[in-house]
Amino acid sequence: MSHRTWRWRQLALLAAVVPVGCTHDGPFVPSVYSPGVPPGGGAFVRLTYNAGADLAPSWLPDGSGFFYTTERYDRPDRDRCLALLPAAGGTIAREICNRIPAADDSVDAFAAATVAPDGRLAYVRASAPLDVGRPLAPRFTELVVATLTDPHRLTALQSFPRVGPSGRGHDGAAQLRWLGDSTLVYVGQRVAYVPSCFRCPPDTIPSGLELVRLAIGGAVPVASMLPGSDQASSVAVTGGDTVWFTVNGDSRVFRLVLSTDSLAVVHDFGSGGVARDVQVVGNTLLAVVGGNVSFFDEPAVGLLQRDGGGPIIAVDLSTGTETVVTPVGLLFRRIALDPSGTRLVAELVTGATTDLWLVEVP
Amino acid sequence: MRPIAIVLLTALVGAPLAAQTGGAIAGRVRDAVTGQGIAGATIAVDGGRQGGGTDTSGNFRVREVRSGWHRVLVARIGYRPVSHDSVLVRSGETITLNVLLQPLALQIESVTVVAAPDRVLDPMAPQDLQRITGDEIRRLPVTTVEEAVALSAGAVGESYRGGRLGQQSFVLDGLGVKNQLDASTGSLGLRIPPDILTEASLVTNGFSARYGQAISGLVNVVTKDGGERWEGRVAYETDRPLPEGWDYGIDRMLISGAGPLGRSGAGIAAVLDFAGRLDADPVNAPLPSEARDPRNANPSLLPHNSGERYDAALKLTMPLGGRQTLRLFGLNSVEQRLLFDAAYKYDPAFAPAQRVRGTLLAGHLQHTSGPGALNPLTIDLRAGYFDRAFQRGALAEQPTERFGAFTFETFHFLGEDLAQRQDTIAAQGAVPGFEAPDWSDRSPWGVPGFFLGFGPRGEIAWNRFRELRTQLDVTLGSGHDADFYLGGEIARQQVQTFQRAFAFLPVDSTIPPPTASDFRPVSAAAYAETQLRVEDLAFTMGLRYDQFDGRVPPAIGGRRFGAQRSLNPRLAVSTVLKGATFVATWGRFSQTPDFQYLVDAAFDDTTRTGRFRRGNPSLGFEDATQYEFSLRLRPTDVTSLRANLYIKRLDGLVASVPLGLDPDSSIFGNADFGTVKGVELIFEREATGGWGVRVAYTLQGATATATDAFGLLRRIRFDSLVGDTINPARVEFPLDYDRRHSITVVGQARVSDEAGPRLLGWPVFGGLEAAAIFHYGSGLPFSRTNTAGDTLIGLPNSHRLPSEFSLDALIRRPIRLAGLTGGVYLDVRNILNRRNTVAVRRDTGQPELTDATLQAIAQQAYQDHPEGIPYESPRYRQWADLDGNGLVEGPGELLPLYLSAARDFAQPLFYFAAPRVLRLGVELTF
Repeated sequence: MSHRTWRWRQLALLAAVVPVGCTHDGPFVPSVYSPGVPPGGGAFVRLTYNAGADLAPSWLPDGSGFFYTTERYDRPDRDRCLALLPAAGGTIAREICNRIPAADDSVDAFAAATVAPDGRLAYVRASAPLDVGRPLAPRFTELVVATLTDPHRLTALQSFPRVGPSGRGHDGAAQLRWLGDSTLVYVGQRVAYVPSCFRCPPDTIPSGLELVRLAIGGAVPVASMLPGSDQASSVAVTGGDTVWFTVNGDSRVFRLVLSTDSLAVVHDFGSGGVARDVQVVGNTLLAVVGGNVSFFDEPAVGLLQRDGGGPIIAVDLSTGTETVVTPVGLLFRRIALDPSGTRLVAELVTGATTDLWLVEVP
Repeated sequence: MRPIAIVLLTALVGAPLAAQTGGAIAGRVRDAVTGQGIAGATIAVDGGRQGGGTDTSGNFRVREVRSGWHRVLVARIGYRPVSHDSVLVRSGETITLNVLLQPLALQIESVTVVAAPDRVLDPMAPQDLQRITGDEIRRLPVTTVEEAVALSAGAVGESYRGGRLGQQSFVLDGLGVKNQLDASTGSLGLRIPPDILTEASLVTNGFSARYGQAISGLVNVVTKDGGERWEGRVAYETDRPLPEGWDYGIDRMLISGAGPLGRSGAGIAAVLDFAGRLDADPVNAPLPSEARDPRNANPSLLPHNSGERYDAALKLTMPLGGRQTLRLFGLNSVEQRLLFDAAYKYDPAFAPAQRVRGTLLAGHLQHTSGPGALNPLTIDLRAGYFDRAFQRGALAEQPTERFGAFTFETFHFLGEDLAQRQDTIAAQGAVPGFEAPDWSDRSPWGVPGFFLGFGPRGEIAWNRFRELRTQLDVTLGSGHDADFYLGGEIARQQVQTFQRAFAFLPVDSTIPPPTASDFRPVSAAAYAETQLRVEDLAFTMGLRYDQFDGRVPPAIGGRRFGAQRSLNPRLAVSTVLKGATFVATWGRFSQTPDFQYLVDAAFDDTTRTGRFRRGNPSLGFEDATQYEFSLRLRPTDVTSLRANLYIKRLDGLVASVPLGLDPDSSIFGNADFGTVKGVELIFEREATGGWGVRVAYTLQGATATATDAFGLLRRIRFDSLVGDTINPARVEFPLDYDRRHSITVVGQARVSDEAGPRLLGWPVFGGLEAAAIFHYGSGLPFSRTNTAGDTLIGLPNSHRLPSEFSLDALIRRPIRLAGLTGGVYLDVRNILNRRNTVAVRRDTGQPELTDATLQAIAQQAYQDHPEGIPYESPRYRQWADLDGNGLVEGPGELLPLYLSAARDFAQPLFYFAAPRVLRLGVELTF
């Protein structure tokens, strides 16, 4: 056989045996076994049924879902994790927990999550030991920033307790909001442990002290107090320049334009009661007004606002018209209005715990 | 000299010749006129590269002729030379070549009488050398050399004569190759592509003093040289066209070629053999009892259980001058496996994987005396470098299967760099990349129990064994009544290991520290052997000296213990009776213990938080002494019957013994001894007249003491009243591979080319080949334990698995198309789809858990997690929320889920052997 013929035959043989395009049956793949939509329907949809507390929802910038803090009732340490629910509810799509096994001897809480348009995730993490007789306060509390893709590779921005910009002691931070790319705004809080009655166990009462603007663009985060925000209880941000907030024991909603430092009252719920948990999208302003809320001066602690929830009221900022959004008798708090302004998620206080509800905004 | 004596010419007893790479050509040269033997005739093999001369009686013998076809020229001045160019030599056998030379004065053609070697009566053929050629492997329903060798009598998989894995030695072209690091628990790491094989054989009786490092058998492999003409094969086999349930994602691609390189006499042989399977270890397990189990959709294939193998071999043969031949051989094998783990059934990305890579580079320089040498001398100098690396653990990222199961990429493991650096300091902390596993939320049952996810188990296991072996063998013939064999070898080895358990956790009081070792043992051996012949009797006397020095550094194993030594005499006598051959052998054999037992190890047994095993650098040889009597008969010209009776005493077997009072610590010692005895009957009808059959039956008993630190509690019991030991530790119990009865039937048939009906003039069945293998084996023993697995119930290995059998077949239709030859074939394993049970749960003695146990573990799991599952949880299952309140809660709703999860998790999978597996093949030869 000549060399050339041999080579030709080799090629022919190779071509003959190279398999063409057959596909295999694959091994089994686990299905999705959990429901993709919440039960029921209508204007009020219960989203979570957790036996523990579900807290502080915060929408993703694109409105596709929202993070909240869920109490892991299936864990002996009752950790509080960040959970991501799809916009319409259903099954938790993602959970961010402290899964380091060494953390099993402590309650680890991730809270107050807020996601920036570029995917950065800021949240507050705290840890408290499980030991009997432990102090009520967490062992540590930190305000951190990470990314959604790797939420555990974080940068600690601030630790608590710390001295706030106004000189008052801050025990924690709540209602984190992104103000542009490199600034966070949050409610600097005092956390008191106060029994609600004689021989009752202490109740943890976080209460706002002031709004803090935290610039994180530099090498070291720089904090400053927003003017007029003394006793601030909630905050919302629109654009990169406007901050809306409420203050403890007050029925008014304030607007602060940062570029001009102009402060104005945009709405007063008046006899409706104490306003808090303000949210603004376009001309719609939402707030929890009245309900189970009290503002008092606790001896040796100072002014505190205890919030047991209340009705949600929508305000058309162009006309000042108020509309009660939620049924009478239900107590909501910590509203998260989605970016489209058409629906909100809020805590519904039921007895000793809270669940999240989805509410259509009229 | 009587004919019997002619057969005995060189009278090497069969056993000592075993495991060589070549055989011998022997016979007598006589004057065609007078019938007298011709002295001084020259015998030239392959143009004089090897050869010898006749003695005064005309007898000759050419030793160490490599397996394969050879050309033999017989010449003597004054006579017409005789040439025979197709003399087939097989390793360990002597082919008889009787020649009648015609004096030149007479114009009559010389006569050659070639006597085919009588493999039955030839005393030079070992009694229990069971051989299979590369061509036979191609025709039988077997794929690998290991599968082919397992057809031998006395073999249970890769266990031979009751021995555990690793008690055999692998000899490749005369060079010993062994995974001395962890042969008892790991593979060799090398696979010989069958297409580069001349033949493979299993030797289980007293083998030559030339060979050591084995106490149960030798697997002897001879590879082919590039021949005088080019030949090769291209083949592809698959099961893809088969319907669902028959398709296991098998792909095998093979290209081989061998031929001459120019006219210098040099040759080359090369093979690429790639195989992939989407389920590399399919099981014939029953369907799951839970309707929601996704395995119902495709029970044949398990996820994350694919495998791929890449084997490449290259051999160069180069003559150097007239008397020397240099052979260079390279073999690289890579096997990568994803490993199904029932706990990760629903999160397979975290299931483990492993990679084994083996490389062998070998050189063989052979010098032979030329034709005419009355005292022929053969010198073989071999050197081989063997490198085997093993890695097991969690993958850094899941590989992409690009074609079938082929990924064509190297697996990367979490902590791999750490392991290869053997950085035990950095490994004290949690190893980067590892996340702690948690209960999976992706099962159909949702409940937090049984199934894991979110992170791998945390195992990092890595080891590497390297060896540079130099081996010198001298074969010297002294007339026809004596042969001498001398030689020795030295092997410099390097052992590196690293293990870390629970790598997602830092080391603390409950997490064993990482272990690593790096040491360089040296092994050496020398031997001398002679065969003497006295009429019909042949005697073989050999003595082998073995030593090894683990040279474990004191930092790892304490003080140095120096070399261990062993002397191993071997004796044999054989004689030819009327129509039968009788061989008696006695030999002592030693093998170095696995080096893994010399150093510390940390490991996770999955039921505890991790165990620690102390290495024992003073371990000595494992020994065996074997007596064997063999009788071979030939009832007819084409049938044969062999009977082997053997008794083997084992001593110094490595076993784990307790270390102090810590129930989770042990040390290894040469603590056990045992006995193997048995009878092998082998009947063979040679493949003539279109069919042949071989039947092998083995009756065997293999027992040994069974020291085990982790299973000690029930083994040694004391009578509470009188204090007597009820189960003394030195009682022998069945060994793991104690198969009492085994039968293997191998049949082959071929239809003649023109036979059978014709379709359009074409003989439909002409040339059709068929081969079938039936195997029956009685049940292997196993031990019952408690649920925790650390306490024996009853005596060790006092229970038996059910018997098993299988029927395999291969049908091949040769084809000839456009001048090309080849064939198409159908290879079917386990035709009857027999569900063979190959293991059971130690706690139940059955593949399944009992209902009561299932209920109990489900109840326990519920009690561990009685909390309700809310609607939004990924664990929530709407069908289980009976009251529809958005919460799966309470025993009424949760317990059925836990029970289903328990039943799913505990379903038996790997307790069953492979189901029916078919593959279609096409091959073209040139």
